[in-house]
Amino acid sequence: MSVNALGPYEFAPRDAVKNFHGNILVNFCWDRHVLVAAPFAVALPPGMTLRQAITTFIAPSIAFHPDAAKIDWNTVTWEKDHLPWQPDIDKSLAENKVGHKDYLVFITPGLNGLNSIGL
Amino acid sequence: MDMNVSKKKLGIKERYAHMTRGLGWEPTYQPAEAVFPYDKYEGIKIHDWDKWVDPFRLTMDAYWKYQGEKDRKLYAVIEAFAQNNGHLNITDARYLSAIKLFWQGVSPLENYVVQGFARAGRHFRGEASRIACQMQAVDELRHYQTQTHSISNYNKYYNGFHSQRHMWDRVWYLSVPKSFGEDALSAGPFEFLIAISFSFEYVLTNLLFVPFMSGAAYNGDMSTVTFGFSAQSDESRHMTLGIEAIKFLLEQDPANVPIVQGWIDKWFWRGSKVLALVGMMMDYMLPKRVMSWKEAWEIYAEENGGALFRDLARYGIRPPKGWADACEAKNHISHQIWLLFYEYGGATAFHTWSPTNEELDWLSAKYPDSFDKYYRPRLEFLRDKHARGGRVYQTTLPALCTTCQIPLCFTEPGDPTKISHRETVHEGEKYVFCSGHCQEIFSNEPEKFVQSWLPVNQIYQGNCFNPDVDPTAPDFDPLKAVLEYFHYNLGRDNGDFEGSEDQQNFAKWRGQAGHN
Repeated sequence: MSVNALGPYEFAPRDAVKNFHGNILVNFCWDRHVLVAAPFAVALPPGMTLRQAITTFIAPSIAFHPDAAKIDWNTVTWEKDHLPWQPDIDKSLAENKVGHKDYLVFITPGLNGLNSIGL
Repeated sequence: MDMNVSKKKLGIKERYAHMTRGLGWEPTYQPAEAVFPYDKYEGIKIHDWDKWVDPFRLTMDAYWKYQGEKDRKLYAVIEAFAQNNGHLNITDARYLSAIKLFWQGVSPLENYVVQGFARAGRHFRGEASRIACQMQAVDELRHYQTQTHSISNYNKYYNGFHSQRHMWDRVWYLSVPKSFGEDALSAGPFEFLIAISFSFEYVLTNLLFVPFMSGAAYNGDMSTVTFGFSAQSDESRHMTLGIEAIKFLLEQDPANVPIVQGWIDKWFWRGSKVLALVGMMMDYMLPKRVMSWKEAWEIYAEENGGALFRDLARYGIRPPKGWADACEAKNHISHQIWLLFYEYGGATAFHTWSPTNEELDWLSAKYPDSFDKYYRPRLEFLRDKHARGGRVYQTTLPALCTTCQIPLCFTEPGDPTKISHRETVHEGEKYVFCSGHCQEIFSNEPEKFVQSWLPVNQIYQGNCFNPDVDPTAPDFDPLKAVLEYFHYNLGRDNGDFEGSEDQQNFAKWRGQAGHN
């Protein structure tokens, strides 16, 4: 379906990658750890490795969660836009085919949140 | 001598006829299509505009008289409130956060509704409907003004009230009501009517106004109670307009039914998301609470709304698509939104805090199915952390829903530890959503929502800094620069209530009222 309008109704997307000064926007969600109230959106250079992105932006942002210090990033499993995904975290976002506005979920088996129920 | 004396006063029906349809005329210089260009393209078919009847049969002259009387009473109370330091009679300075949120996020929406009804009041072909819309436009303008005058008294003493118009166009969480209002304003006049008059005013407005005004009464805020009372008779008129509008549209042509149903689906969902802010206010911001969000939802949405949709079934209208999910969410959204604002409390122009034990117990009792398991542990953890000197202030920006613009803090229906998210690719560009319903709203009108001004994305694009800021400077702090762009007084408007200037001043001034 499309917008009902009297005349032509065409607009460029406001969040096209060209507006992000060489970065891409990437969403990160820690699965079943809702003490972290919402997933993050971070603007990252595509040449940055996934590990750098985690170390620089994600790890400090979740550090207040008691499970955070126990994460072994080498054994974390991932989903990208709802599908299982196996990145090489020492390769760049571009090499891992992380695209603009992708939604990444990291799953930390064995770490089950506050009271072990996913908080 | 017998004389034929004409009746001095017209009956209410005659007057209504003269003062509405009697004011209309057939255009002669221009075809009607050119005078009313916007009331056909949405696909709504109207065969007889004269079938529109305002149940109040209110005419403009009577309207001025009633409103004038109400204003005189209202301003007498506001004046007395200001002169007697009425602000010191509120239960606790934490209550001010509720008023700040109302002032920052709801009052400007009233102003948007002025614009929408002024437009509808110009563009509908039927005179009676035009006049009803014009009166509602004036009502909403009056509400915006009376709220401004009542709340301006708080601005003399407390933080966070100072830059409403500036913040409305910029601040991250205010984009939620703002984008809601702009979505309605940029729709055609009939969709606007279903969005605001029906879905919001009729189905959902009690969830906003009853808790807000009762909350004000419970918490000693005479000023807000009084503007609430003054608005109440207007609100009941607006609700009646809402039900009149939908019945009129549905009775005019069966082809209108699916179009109206689509708008109900969209606007019920959008409204229920905006009202999550009210849920947080009721459950967390009122020091003395009236009822829980869940109870309000059960009475005003499930019972009243349920009866309404049973009534509308004879026209072929069913409850909105998001109904079941919105009802399931009554156990969760107020807590999820409060926790979000608490964690991002460094970036809000109102204060957040940890609830007391007594408040936690109240929430446990009100939410037996969800609170102790999912929310109390989080609140207690954050409170303990704060007590140990580690107040959590999240500084990494959250992912936003492209449609409702709320950070993705809501969980999957029936799965309260799984953050809900959806993605759509439209013309090669990806869009993220908080729910299937928001995703569907996008998919029905992608050309509209590709324009969403999402604050987080705008910050990353560099559009939310003051012009004199140098992002290449070695000491550049982007979050601080953004908050300055919002016109926050840092350290006074934002942050935890504990230790805030508002807390200290209120305690000091109230103390002075009782002793030297």
